[in-house]
Amino acid sequence: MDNNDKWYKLDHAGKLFPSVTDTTNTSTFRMSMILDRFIDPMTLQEAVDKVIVRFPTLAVKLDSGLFWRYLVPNPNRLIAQKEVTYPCAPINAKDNNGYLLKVLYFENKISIEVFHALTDGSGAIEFLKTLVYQYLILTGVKIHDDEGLILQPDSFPSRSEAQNSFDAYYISKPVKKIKQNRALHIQGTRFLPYGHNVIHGFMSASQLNRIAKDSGVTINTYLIAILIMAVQMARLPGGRQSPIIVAVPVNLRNIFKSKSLRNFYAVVNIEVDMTPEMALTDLFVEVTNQIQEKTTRENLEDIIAENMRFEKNPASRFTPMGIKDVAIKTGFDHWGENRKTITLTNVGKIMLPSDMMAHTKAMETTIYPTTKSPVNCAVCSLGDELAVTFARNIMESEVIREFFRILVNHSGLEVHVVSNDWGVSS
Amino acid sequence: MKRCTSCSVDVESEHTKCPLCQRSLIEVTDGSVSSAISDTAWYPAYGEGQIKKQFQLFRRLIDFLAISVASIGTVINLLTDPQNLWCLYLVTCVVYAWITFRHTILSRVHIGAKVLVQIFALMAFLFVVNVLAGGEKWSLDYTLPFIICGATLFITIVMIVKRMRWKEFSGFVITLIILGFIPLLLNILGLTHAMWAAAIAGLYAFLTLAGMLIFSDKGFKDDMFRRFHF
Repeated sequence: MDNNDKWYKLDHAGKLFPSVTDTTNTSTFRMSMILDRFIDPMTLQEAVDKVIVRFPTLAVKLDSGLFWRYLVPNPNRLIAQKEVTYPCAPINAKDNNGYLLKVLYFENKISIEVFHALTDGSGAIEFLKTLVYQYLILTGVKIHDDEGLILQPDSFPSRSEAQNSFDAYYISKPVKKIKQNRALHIQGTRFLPYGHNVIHGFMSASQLNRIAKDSGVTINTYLIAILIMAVQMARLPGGRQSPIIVAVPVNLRNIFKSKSLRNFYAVVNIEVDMTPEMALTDLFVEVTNQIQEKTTRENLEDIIAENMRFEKNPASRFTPMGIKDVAIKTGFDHWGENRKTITLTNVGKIMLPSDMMAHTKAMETTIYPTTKSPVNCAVCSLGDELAVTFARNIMESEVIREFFRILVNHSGLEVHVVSNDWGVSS
Repeated sequence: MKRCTSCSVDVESEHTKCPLCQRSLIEVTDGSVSSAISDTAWYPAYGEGQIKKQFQLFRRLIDFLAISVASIGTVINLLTDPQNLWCLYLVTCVVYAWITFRHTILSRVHIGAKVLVQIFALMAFLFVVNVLAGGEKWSLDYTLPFIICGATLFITIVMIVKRMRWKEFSGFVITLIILGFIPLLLNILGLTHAMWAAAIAGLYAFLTLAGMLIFSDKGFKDDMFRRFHF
């Protein structure tokens, strides 16, 4: 089959994002690696040209059908660009040769920005790893990937990488109606001109792991509990006592067997009705219990079934795309955005061959804020460097300040802060 | 390396204030965090050039001009000759001109989308003028079928000329083919009376579809399958 004959139906998550994306909800996330050398644009472009072919599900453009959008191969060249604007800015496919993926460079940093309809963090990280691998090879670095941590640029993409795993693991079942409350929303003054302020906090991954273990929890639970406490400390006294709800994307590849490089995640909501006497230790217990309860295979199957109910419904399948867009946007606002305070996503520990680690200093991942969730948080680690990244579209930084204050006070960790200073006069 | 004593965090050297609390920083020499992070420039300085102010100003001028002409004309009409509402013609013309400027001329959408929006705008414009003027339904009887035929012919020619990029236009030509049967439908429902014009539009749409299926390669049929998948 000719490569141009291939096309991809959007996966469940991919169907959502094009309908709800606008300037203040860009559906674009970023992943960056800092190398030990200045990035050479020509060499990076050479690496992009080679690597993009290895990832056919990213080398696509979005087209519209009567009932659904879909992805078709993009014959144009993906151009590596110098970073000039704020992270997770909207990707205008017209200005990007039709691509919904950007490769950016700035001094020692290589970043990719990905429109979420294409893939999630786990898929994107594989592309970034292969891209940096190829870049280092082209600059003369010898890398031995004996552990098979990198998808080799010369290897053939497997069919399992292009699998729509949502469809593969969808089970039609009656969905339990769970009452979900309207979440507390962080309020603030929008940046003008609009943009995203990003603050990275770097710390020792091993020390954080030890401190979390001493508290009887995982790093993820530890950070979620601190985030909930930070939101509580930053909220104004009085007013409606809505619960604090942290949306936590769960990588389903760890629970269901999948090697897909497309979207395959579900969001579980950790909901806490804070009372004045609640301490951090109480939150550790509450968050642990909720995560254990909500990330069972059965519960995740329920979430997949509930989320995919709309697209499996014959009436909605035959509804023209324009009308579906309105329905999806309404549902997203009502059932998605209204029911979360903040998102915390943890991409986890990124593994690289030791030859690559020697030339890679750090890594960060950033997720876009939205209108109703104006501060969002992403976590990842490389080697012993763990990065907690907050992106916000409002001037107020109380939640972020409280987060690092509580973290430093409780753990005693040394935290190193870096920011892009968007919207803040220096 | 710098440090914020208020937040108890180290801060990258390039900052003059703490990104968390905006307080001043103190210089420290003994940084506990690896130099891997501290000696790296992370972000560019953001320039004002990113904001397309001039283009925005031009678009806003057009918006303001349209509102001004429509409102001034309406007030003059109501004050001078309220029995004869010529301002409705004026407002219709202004709306059509505004769509033409903002979408057909200034926007960066695909030319196929411009043609489709222009068809709808032009038809709405002519229909309103027709209703205001009264008399026969010439807008639906004659102009609708021939505007659709003209647009279909235009897109077909563009597809033939730009053979390498035909896929970009296939969705629009299919939409136009579907629109081509609408005059016939209106006639069957008794909403229009010029059967011959509706029949020509329907026949032209049918021949365009047949021509596409016969002369196109497998790619066009595959494209049809993709566009109508459910």
